[in-house]
Amino acid sequence: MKRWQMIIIVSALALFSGVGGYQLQQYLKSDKNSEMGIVVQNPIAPKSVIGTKVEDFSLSDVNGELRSLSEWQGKVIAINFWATWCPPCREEIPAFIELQQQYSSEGLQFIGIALQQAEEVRGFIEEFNVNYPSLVGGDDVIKAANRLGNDIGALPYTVIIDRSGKISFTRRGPLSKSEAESVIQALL
Amino acid sequence: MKLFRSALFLFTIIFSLSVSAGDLGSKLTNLFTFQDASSADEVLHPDVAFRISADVYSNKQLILNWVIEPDYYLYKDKFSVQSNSPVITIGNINYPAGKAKEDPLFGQVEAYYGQNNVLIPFENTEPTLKEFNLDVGYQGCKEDSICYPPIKKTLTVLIPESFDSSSKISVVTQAPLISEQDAITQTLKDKNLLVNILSFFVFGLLLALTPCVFPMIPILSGIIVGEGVRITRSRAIMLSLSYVVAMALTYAALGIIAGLFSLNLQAASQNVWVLSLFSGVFVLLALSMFGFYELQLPSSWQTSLSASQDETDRGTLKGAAIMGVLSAIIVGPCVAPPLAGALLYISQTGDALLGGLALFAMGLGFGVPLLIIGATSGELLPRAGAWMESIKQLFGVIMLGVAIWFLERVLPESIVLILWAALFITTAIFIGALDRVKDTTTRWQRLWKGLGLVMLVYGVVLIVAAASGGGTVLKPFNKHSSAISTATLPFHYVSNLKELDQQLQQAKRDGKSVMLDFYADWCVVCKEMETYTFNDPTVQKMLQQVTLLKIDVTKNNDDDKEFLKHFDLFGPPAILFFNKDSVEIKSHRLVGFIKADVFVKHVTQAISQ
Repeated sequence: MKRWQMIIIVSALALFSGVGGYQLQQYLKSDKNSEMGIVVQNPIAPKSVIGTKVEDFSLSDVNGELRSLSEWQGKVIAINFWATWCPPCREEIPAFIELQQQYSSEGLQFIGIALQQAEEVRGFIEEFNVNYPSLVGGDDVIKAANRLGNDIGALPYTVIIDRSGKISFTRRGPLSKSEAESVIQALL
Repeated sequence: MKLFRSALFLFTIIFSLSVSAGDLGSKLTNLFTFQDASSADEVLHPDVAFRISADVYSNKQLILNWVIEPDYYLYKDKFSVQSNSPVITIGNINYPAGKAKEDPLFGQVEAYYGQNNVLIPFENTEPTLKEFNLDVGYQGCKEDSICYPPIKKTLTVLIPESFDSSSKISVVTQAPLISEQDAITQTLKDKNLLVNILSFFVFGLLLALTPCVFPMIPILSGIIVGEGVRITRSRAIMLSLSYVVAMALTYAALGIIAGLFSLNLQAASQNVWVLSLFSGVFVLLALSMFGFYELQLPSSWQTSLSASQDETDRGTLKGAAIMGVLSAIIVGPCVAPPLAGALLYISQTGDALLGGLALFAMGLGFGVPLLIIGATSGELLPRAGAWMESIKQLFGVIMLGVAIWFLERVLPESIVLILWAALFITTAIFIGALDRVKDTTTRWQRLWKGLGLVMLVYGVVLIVAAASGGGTVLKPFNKHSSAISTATLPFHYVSNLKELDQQLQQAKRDGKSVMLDFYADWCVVCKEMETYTFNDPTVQKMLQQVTLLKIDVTKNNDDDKEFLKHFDLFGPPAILFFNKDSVEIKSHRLVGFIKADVFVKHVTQAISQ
């Protein structure tokens, strides 16, 4: 009888190690797939524009009025490129609203630039109570983004400009409140 | 009860080990590959993240195909396709369902991940039209990172002259040269039955001279040593014979099956389940070598068996035979190219009897050295003695090594290295690496301590190597993770014959030769090719002018099987070449590992055809 016990136990063991191994393999597969992903290309970093002086540009705001960057000259300007169809952009905007609230008296000016038409963003701006100007546009927005160092026009893209008009920070992708705050505080 | 308890103990250990390994694995890999937290800046160019192509599928349908990098996605409702030719009208497009994403602003949106395609109906009022342009618009994001501005692309679509002939993949039937695989098939086909069987035997003998036979030696020796103290030479020979015959019979079974069906034997034998199972079996065998429990018949049986010697023989011979069967499957992949040739030959003859006989002969040939080893080790083993325990333990260590070796194909490198390190360090401590040297310590003990220290240090080195991201047990700091190696050659993955066809058509239009690589996660040779050959700068330089396609048949799904069947392949490894007219150069098929310099010559020859 013991022989049968042995056989049963050995097969159970083998089965379980097999199951374990299989699960492990399946588990690792997700990682592996992304590693083995079709062609792993060099990531493209945005071209550096840090330290360069910003050229003035004009875009229309949600009310159709043409606004120029020079309007806010002398302030610390944080330009945030976004769109309503860009989930990571929408997620960071509440933090920018808070920062604008907190530091506007010290000379901070956030400017939202949406890669969209005015009517597409108006609802969002009202709903979220965006407390800073929002500029809109299509190709001209992409051009502005390119000039500010965002060569592929990916969103979100945030540029922080010091009081003298020099670019001191850029971020393609989400920007956390704390990081933005530390950059802004240093410039104010 | 003692047996039962020790088995229960083992059960707990192995089960928790193999199951928790998943969690451990991910934790370790996370530890060792520090993901840059601010990787948001690292985004792919949209043309790399999303690759879109369009082709004529029939005279009324276009096929639009997109390949999206992992973590990137495209919005279903942002797709737009327009013809910018007045004679081409695009019909209603039925986009495939995407993955539902909850969007707080827009509600539920559908997003595409990975690879997909859609058939687009079109009308052409100009029958002589050769090509037209298609404006395709799409928009997408990288998960939790960035979104791209809306993308517009103009794709040129060529209209083939005829949809029947040109859209099929053409394969040259007459081959001027014969490839490695074909050569084996050819030699075997021209001979009659007896010569056939003989040549298979010699073939097996030759195979036995390859390192493929190595994993079998500890297995067989383990069986003989594990048999206990009363082993005689004739008994050792009988055991070896039983092992070898069983192995040969397994190959014979493969031969018969190949004669009847076309199966991917390699996939079966390198299946994760099978490998994990074998690994578990080896751990169990090893533990019995260490004396955790005795793998032997119950004493009541033994007494009755000692009465009749015949039955003892039968029982143990059966054990040896079972291991023989398992071993045959284990080394199968190692002998893949010749075995593939042999099995291809058999499946072409469709003769199951011939298949069985020929592969049986091959297995016997392969087993000759094992018989010799079995016979001599039987002679070398003493009737009894304390040092036999040491030999048993040595075999135990080797078996654990074999168990890890199996897992190398399944587990990430860093974990395999840690397993090796654990084996080295534990062995070192057992042979006295950390014992204090006293006056009474014998020279032998000092020697063992020395060896033990070397192993201990090597084990520590392996842990360091694992922590720094990998390598192999023999070259711990020679990193070649799959991510690095695949990054070196820009392969384009195709997942079915239709896609392959499109790619070949594209290459034909571009006037480029094509290299098609059959790959699978479990294919060791494929990984070796990636690590050693494809990583070579001369190889990379030479392949710049060649369209590189890859088929991943890891899943062995219907599309994969169709691929293998289409090209008469048994499984990876296989590298096929197509000339500038997208006709396969059958003479230059590769079905095994090939070094960089030889590969360069081979490819130069292939693409100059």
